[in-house]
Amino acid sequence: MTRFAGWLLALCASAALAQAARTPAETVDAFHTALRNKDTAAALSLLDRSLVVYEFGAVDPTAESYAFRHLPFDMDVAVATAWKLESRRTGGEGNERWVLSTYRVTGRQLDGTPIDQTTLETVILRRTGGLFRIVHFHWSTSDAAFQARAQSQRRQEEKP
Amino acid sequence: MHAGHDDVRVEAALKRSPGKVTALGSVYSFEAKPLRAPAYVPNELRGWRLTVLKGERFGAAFQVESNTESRITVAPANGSLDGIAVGDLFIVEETAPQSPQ
Repeated sequence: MTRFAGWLLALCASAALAQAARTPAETVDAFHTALRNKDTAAALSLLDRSLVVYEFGAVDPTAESYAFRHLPFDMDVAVATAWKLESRRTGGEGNERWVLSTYRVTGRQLDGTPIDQTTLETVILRRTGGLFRIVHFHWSTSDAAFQARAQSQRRQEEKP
Repeated sequence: MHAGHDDVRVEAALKRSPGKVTALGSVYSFEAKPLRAPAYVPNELRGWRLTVLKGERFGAAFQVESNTESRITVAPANGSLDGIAVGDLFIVEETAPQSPQ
């Protein structure tokens, strides 16, 4: 098989990943799988164009903003760490659903510092064209020190 | 290469080059400007994956067939660049083809 044929198959697999995600929880899991697989197109295919992201005190007001500013870094973190699902609740009805999850996130930073924290995730999804897509993420952590450092850093970035 | 996620620093999962469309070309090429370098090195992106991050073709992915300092040409088999517009943002990532799951 040529490299190009393999690449074409990968594109088809990305599309299949999006199409295969049927339930809200499966859609959330597919997003995390796409990040871990370093599959940008598959991750984007699971996002509604009206996406708004709240992440550790920062706001991405559009899907484009998230895709450009933070998705690559989220992919790096997803590849460098292990995310173990610890709890999940789902709800909503009709075309509007929510998925609440907590994950134990472990790994190591570049300098060897261990990463070991609980990440809290709220996801709101909307069904359009028969498929659930993500319209909102909110990530935070139970690690108060981490949260404080992240928010402080965001405030510094926002100063003119 | 390092990547930052708030105060978490981890290894970058991929080599990346974000860019902006500066002019339209043929159905398979466009003029572009890298956002982290003054220009592309000719054919440094050959075989890399290009994903549109802003614009009508949001989320569309292509394989780069070749590039000059300022022009990117994608492989025809992924379809045309129809819908791409000046000002659209994209990212090019060095990644090997993934096996279907």
